[in-house]
This record gives sequence, C-alpha cells and structure tokens, in this order.
Amino acid sequence: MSPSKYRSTNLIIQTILEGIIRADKNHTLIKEGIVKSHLIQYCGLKSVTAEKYFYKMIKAEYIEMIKEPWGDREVTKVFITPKGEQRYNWFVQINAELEN
Amino acid sequence: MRTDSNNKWKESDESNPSRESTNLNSPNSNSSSANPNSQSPNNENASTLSSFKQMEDYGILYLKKQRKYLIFSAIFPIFSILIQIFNIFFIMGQFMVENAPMGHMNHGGPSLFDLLSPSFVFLLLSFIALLKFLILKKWDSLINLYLRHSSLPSKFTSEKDQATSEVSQNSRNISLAGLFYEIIDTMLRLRSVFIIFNIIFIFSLQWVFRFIIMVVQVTSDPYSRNILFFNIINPIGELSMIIYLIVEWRQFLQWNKKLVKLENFEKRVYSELGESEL
Repeated sequence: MSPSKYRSTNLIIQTILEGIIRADKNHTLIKEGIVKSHLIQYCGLKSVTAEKYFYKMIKAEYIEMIKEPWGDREVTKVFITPKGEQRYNWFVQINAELEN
Repeated sequence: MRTDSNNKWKESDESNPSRESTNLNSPNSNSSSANPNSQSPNNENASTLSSFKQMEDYGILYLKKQRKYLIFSAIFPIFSILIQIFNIFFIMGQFMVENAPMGHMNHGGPSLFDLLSPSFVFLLLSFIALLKFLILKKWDSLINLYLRHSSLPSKFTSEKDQATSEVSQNSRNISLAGLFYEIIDTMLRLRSVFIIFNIIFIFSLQWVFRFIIMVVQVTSDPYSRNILFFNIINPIGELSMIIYLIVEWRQFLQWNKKLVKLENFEKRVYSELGESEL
C-alpha cells in the first residue's frame, strides 16, 4: 500500500470527523450532530463514496448514525464518538507539532 | 483520559430519554466510551485539546508559524542573489576589459566555468525564492478561504438553517485537515528542491574558494578596492548561506519527524477501518 493511498483515505476520514465536530462547535454539552446529507456536502464527496466511508467508520467506532423524526419525515444524523474525536485530536496534534 | 467528554456524551443521551431514534449501529458496539488504555501518539501526560475551537486555534497558529518560516526562507536567498549578480558583473567585467587586474579572458583570466557558476547558482536561488513566494501566496488564499468559511455560523445543523443560509451552495469548502495536507504536499516538494539546493551549495562553495584563490594569485594589485570588496562580500555571502542551510536543515529534520509520525498514524487509522479497499 503506497503512502499516498493511506494519505488520501486519512484526508477524507479527518474531513468527515472535522465536519461533525464543527457542527457542535458552539455546543459544549449537547451534541446535536449533523445531518448526513449536509456532511456529505461539506466533505465534497459522492454519496456512494461517502456511504462506504461511513460504513467503515461506524465499524471502527469513529461515528454513530441515528435516524431522528423530522416532522413527517426522518433525517439521519451523524454523531462523533469519543474515539473518533480522539483520532481527530491526535491528527491535529501531530500536524500542529504540539508534541515533542 | 477523556472522562469529561465521555460524561458529556452520556449526558446528552440521558437528557433526551424521550427521543425516539433508530440506532443504525451494530447493537454490540460500544461507541460511547473511549478506551482509556489506548495508545496516544504522545506521552501519557500530554493534555488533549478539549474543543474544536482550541484545535482550530492551534491549527491556525501552526499555519501562521509556517507562513513566517516561508517568508524568511524566501527572502534570505535574495541576499545571496545580490552577491551572485555582483559576481556575474565582476566576471563579465574581467572578460571585457583588457587591462583588468585578473587578466583578460583570453590571457589566462576567468574561464567560462567561472562565468557560468555564479549565474547557475543565481538562477537556482531565484527559482527557490520564487517557488516559496508562490507557495506563500497560495497558502494565504487558502487560509483566508478557510477563515472566511469558519467564521460563518454553522449551517449544517438543520435543513431549516440551510434554507436561510447566506452562503452559496457552490462555495468551495476547505477544511483544517485539507490545509494540513496542503502543507505536507508543499513540504514534500520543497524537500526535493532542498536536496538539489544542497548539492548546488557544495558546488558553489568550491567555486567561491577556488575563485578567491585565483583572484589572489593573478592580481597585480592585491589591495585593489574591487578585489578587496569581492574578497569580503563573497565570504560573508557564503557564511550567511551556511547559516541559512543550518536553519533549513533544522526545519526539514523536524518536518521529517512529523512525516514519520503522520505516516504511522495514517497506517493505524487505515488498519482500524479494516483491511478491505474503500
């Protein structure tokens, strides 16, 4: 596996995690999550590709998906797990050289 | 390790007991608690960044720090470029003037090699400085785009908010992760250029040393002002280039360490996501 393949995968993963964390930027106690379609739009991915990544990330326990009622309809919301948040945290720390 | 965020996560679930929702995850998943024994990339006592705002602030601070480094490393070669311009004119002067102290070109004076060497070094330094300025300009536009985007109110929490959003749906989104990877791509390109620069520097060091010796040997007036100026300015230039190289080496060694950590992190994430192709 070439480093570029890891890199391109990780870029998408971290962008997805960032999209979810950013949605909760102004909320400290209540996690509101982000609507799935909005997250896909934020990441600039095709739906098929995004679904594949979401599936993998749910299996890896980085995110959760919950269907919520929205009037007569249902929306799927994506929430980040502490493990996902931790992974994003590590990513920022490595890149911002916050560790020795 | 992240017990406060674990509690917040549990609190949010407990505070809405009446929320009817369908959990799409596997019923056996234990996603709401982090493994406190999981290995972190840093030592166990390092503090974690508790909110996205903090992460963003650190990220932007790092980008600004890299920007300052880029400005320094782009401006500094200009000093060497000026010295090389002086060398070129000086050599050309020797080439053209018959009774020049170093002798005319056809009478055992500076060779074509001596004429081309400062030109070659000058061109390479100009290219490096120009490349860094172009990268700087690109980073500036990306960072401004990111800051403009991040200062907007969150538009992704509900469809109702989206309908009233002031942001065009076609505007390009740049994430902090995207910015970080932009830096890494730049670093990899600059690293290749830096290796070439080191080779050229060794070459230019030999040339300057050889030329100074030649100047001392052939001149009939060792106290001539031109030669003295040449013999002062070039060693100063070479010394400053050595200092510049030390700074650059330090920067690239730090970057290499970061790249290794990042690669290990990427492999770990990839393995956690599973072995199959995405």
